[in-house]
Amino acid sequence: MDMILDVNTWIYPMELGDKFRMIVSTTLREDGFAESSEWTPLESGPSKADSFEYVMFGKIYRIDGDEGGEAGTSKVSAYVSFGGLLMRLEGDQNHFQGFEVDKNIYLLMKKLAF
Amino acid sequence: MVKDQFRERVCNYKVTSVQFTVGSAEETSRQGHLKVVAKHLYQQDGKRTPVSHGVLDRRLGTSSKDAKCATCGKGLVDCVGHFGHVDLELPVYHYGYFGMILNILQCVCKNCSYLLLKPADREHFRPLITRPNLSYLAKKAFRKKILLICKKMHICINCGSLNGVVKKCGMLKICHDKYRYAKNGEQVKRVKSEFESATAGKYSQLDASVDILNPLIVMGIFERISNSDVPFLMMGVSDNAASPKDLVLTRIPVPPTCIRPSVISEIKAGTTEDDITMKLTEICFLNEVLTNHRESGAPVDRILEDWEFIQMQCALVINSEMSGLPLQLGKKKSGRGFVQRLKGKQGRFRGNLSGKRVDFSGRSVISPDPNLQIQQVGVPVLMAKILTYPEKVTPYNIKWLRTLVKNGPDDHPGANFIESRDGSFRKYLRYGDRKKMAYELKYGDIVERHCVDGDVVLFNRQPSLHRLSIMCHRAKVQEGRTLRFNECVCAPYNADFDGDEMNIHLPQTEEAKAEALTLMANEVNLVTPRNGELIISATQDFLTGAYLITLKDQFFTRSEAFRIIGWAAVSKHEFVELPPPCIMKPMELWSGKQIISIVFRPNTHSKIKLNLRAKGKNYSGTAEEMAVEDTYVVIHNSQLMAGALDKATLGSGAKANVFYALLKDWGKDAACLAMFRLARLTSNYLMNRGFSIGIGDVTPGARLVSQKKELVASGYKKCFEMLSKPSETLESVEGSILKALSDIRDSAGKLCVKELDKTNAPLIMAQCGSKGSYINISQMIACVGQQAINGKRVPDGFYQRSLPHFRRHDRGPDAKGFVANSFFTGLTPSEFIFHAMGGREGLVDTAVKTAETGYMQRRLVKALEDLCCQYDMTVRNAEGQVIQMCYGLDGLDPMFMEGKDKPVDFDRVYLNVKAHCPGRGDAFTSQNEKKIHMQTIAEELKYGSGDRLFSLEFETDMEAFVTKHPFRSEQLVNFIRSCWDKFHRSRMEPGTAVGALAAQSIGEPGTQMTLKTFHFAGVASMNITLGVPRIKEIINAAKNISTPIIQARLVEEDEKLAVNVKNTLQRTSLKEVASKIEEIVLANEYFILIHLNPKKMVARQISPHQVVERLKTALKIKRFDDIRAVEYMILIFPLESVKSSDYFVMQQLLLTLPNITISGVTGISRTIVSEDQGVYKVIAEGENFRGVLTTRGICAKRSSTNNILQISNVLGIEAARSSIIREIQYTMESHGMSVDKRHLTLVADLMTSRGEVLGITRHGLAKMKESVFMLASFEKTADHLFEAAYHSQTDKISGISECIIMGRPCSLGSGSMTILEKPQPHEALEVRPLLFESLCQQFPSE
Repeated sequence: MDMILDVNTWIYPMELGDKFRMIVSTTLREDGFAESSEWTPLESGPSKADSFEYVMFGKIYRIDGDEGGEAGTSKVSAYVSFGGLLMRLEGDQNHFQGFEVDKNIYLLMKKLAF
Repeated sequence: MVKDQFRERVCNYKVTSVQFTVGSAEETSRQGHLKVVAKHLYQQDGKRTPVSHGVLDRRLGTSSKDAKCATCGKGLVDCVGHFGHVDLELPVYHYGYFGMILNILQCVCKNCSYLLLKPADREHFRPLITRPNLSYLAKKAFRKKILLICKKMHICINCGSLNGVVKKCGMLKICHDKYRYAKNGEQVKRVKSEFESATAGKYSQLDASVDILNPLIVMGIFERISNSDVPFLMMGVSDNAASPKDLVLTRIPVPPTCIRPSVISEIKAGTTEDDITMKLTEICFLNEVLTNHRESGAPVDRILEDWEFIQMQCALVINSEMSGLPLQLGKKKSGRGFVQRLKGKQGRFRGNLSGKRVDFSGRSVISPDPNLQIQQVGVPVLMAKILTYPEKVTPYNIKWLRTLVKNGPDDHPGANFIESRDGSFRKYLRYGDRKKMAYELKYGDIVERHCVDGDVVLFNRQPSLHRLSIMCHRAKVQEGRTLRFNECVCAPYNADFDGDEMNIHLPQTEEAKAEALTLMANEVNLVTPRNGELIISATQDFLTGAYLITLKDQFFTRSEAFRIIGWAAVSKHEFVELPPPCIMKPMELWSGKQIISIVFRPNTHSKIKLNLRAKGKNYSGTAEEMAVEDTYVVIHNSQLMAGALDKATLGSGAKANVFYALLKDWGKDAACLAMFRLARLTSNYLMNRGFSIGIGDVTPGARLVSQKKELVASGYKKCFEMLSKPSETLESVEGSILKALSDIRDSAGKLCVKELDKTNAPLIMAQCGSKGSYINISQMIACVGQQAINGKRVPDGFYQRSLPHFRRHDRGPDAKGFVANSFFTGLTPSEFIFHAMGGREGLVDTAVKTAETGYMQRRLVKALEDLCCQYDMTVRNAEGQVIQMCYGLDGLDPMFMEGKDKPVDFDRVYLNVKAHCPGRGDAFTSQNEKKIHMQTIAEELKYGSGDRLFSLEFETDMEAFVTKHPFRSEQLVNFIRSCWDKFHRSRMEPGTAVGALAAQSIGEPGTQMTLKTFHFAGVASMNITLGVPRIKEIINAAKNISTPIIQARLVEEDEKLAVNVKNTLQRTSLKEVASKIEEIVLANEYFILIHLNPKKMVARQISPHQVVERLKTALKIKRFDDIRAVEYMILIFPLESVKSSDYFVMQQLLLTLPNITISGVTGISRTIVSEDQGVYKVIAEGENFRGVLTTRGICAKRSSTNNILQISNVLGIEAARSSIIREIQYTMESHGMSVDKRHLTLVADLMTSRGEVLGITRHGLAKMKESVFMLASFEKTADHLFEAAYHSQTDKISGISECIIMGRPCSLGSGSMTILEKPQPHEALEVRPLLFESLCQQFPSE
């Protein structure tokens, strides 16, 4: 897997060599259910975000490279834009289960101490 | 004052045609009411009563308010006036027909009036000229042809008398040089000696052999022309056609007084009379004098003098600006004759008939207002109270109109007048009981109410160069005194707010409103018909704002974000929705890209799903959106995913544009609203954020200063190196120096961009394209650069130097106008002067250019105005002649072209389809399956009709695209549907004035062309003219163009061949191949010896023998042994001639020999070989295209020239047509203008439609247009009218100019069709037998 990611380093400084934990999720709810379509800023309740330091919200707008249709061999790249901060994930098609164009996703990050 | 809705009147009153004719004397008196004889104007009674039978007689009409016309008894307003006439004692020539009189005299025998045409010619012409529907052009052509033949006949076949040349001699005098073709014959001598003896040698200076033809003689000749000869003069065949004798005046009409009113001044005594009145009294006076002299038997020369004088005055009434007036007459201001009244911009034709003053209009200074919608225009309340609309009272609006009436004329939404339904009364609402009037309002009454919000108005800025210069807006009544509109609409009007004024018109009928809204609304004109690019779009501040917001590192907190999206709301009621923040932790932050997306799609209820992938202005490389610069714009379902928005994606003049995509995929309303939201949002954002420029922005840092210094130093070094090289020519050195110096500025610009802070305001503006360029920044901060004048460095204004500050012969950068300083550091005195010189050139250019392009535009429009796309897709002119069989060859409208000259941009449609129906992969297993699927979709769209779905070209394009890209089944259906939709929407609407569009599309960009006159054609030092001068050359079909260049291709790509061809084309003189030319004197021989250089001869493929042949022809040597070649030596033996000695001949030869042309194609001055990626071209400067094509080694099929007339002569008219298109396109493209090919095609087709290349000038136009009115309203007004009268031409009033002049609806656009009436069945006609038919049957012909 290859990843290119824009991070707002003004509010979340990152140095070369930092180790971090990162997950990509379609929901922030701890129970894993999909969120309601409307975003309510005052939503309470347990959130996945609680245990992370840096959370971004974005949308998958393009998935490339699986035209051949043969599973396992082709490389896929998914493009996500977090309001202009871009992420490109490249890797084997099997890793992109559930990635669909137009889907909103969250990216959660946390630096590891060591 | 209510404007009536236009209704075509009962047919009896329609002007169907206007015939011009020469009025005869009888006709003049028949039309007149009065014979004018009195030379005085007023009686001496102190009351200014006009003299009876004078030129101001009351029977001719009245010009004062209190007097009534004595003929019809009506007042000033109602009396149309009545003609009178003056009978001349002796006939005079009519000024306008003088040329025709000369021509007729040339064509007939001066003795017996028999036509000077051989019987054979007569028989040849007779059937041709008596054809019933002879066109005007044909008539003119036949007259010319017959004249030409008659001129060659010197002896009359009828009476055998001599006929020479008839010519003008002096002012309005004709003489006949009878013996021109028998100069030294017996007759002449006899005549001369007779004359000598008769006059006793008193008048030896007079030529006795020349007859003076006075009007009386000419009348006699004309009267005797037999009826069978008259048709050959092409004076028309209709009943009221003139006869030749009418061309000579015996009676002149006196026009009604109302067209020449006398102005009675109250301050000073006396009246001011019109020039025409004065001239007529003078004629009356002279006429009386002449009569008296004749009666009293005055000397002949006295009478002749009077006659000449009256002749002059009669001519001056018609044209007061005659050339060749005698001095004493010409000096004083001769006033306005009839011709002067008609001609020119302020004349009757252009000033009153083709353009009229209008009511219900306003004009004011304009100012910007981003809070107005795109289609709105802010109208000052003051103006709104004066501009009224006659609203009819109906049950639906009576309540509202009552309140308006109550408000009256002074409160804004009010009304000024009410008019009853039957027209019985009309009341001004300022006075009287408005409440009562409001109460009494009835259905059908008309209320002239004020202009209110939402009214349809037309908005216009001069110069109206294209149709977008006058567009329909919705009024928005506002306080203030200026007209206001959204800055996005500046571009079509070419308006700025430095004091510009604009006009506003309020259409007065429902029909006019409806038509204005559907055709002229600026919403439907977001796109220019020139090339289909967006013309109304974000500009200046909006671009800066949008760019700053959408930068990648721009984030907003919650409060900022909410404030900004509030500005995007179109109205109070609109609901804008903020998406979840893109950064949720550690703090909530919204990116600018998220916020700008609201502009396209304000809330989730909106259905707009915009998709676009486009390169930004500064995009380079291949990484697309993954590049660090963030210059690749990706919009996915109305969300901006990546890329900062800039001029390329928001501004005008591009198709990879956000608003363009919105317009094409989601309609005009979506595009307009988005533009408005962006305007409001960005301008408010900028106001809050602040964006300004200060001295800090243009202060270079220390590093920049040192780097710039290095740059300049290295550039200077390069220049001095080049100057010290002696080998090259001056021109080529100048060229490379200029290049080196302009490189300095460019690299300084790049340096600035690299060094400057990214918050630098000028840099931001340059990057987003809102204002200024990198060069401008560089000029402010680093280096102003080389000043060029006329494409060269500053010329020497002083002896061998540009300014006295420099040494003589100094050709260094500083001395020739290189400005190394920046505006920040300040310029040295000499630099300042150079900069001012450059600046002045720019100013002069713009001044010259505006006049030039304005005239070009006028000519183009006049030539193309009547071309219209018909229902069968042909383009025809007003006469119905086909100019194009199918508009633009494919019948598509340039306005709807989404790709480059193509109706659909497949990539964008594909992107849309993929985004709307997501899903990956190709649903088809094979291409074949895909093809079958495509066909079924196509069948469905056709609804079973057998027509082709698209044009063949389009279909192949689409198929190629479909096979290349993966589609799912649903996507394919949508894709083809979408293409089908776009293709059919882009077909040209029948009735469109395609000619006018083409004219505007070529003329309007002309005004924007900077006068970058020259351009190098491939190789250095081969200039070709560009810009306005080049367009002018092409449009004029100029014979001699300023830089004719032939681009010759070779039969095979081979350098050797290229050089060979070059040498054969190039002019070579003897001195170039000879190594020595000697004069040899031996004891018994004396000759010139030319040593030829074998090497050079071989290189140029010339044999000594050829040289000898060339020399023989050049020196006109006839005897064989005078010149001979011995291998590479040529000997010339000079011949002693009668006039000069052999020594002299020898010296003469020695002078001329070196410059004698040995080889080369005549007319080719310079040739160059150019090589581009293995393609060799020989580029030749010169005219002789035929000569070049026939040269061995040249591929005639692929060679071309930029001289259109040459192409027409050598290759034919079709080649000329395509070369016109190519040349205009090339010129436009090299100035960065894009014009759709269809427009150029139309212009080229018109220019070549008559079989020869006709320029769009007065000469060309006279050969393509039939209508007299059209020609008269263009140029040479009087000439065309007189000529039309001579030919008794009938104008059918079918074109645009004619219709406007006659006040009839034009046959274009919505006027292109009328109702077809079912004809009444005719009564059966009885066939009557011919008079002698019965006899014929009895005696059948043998």
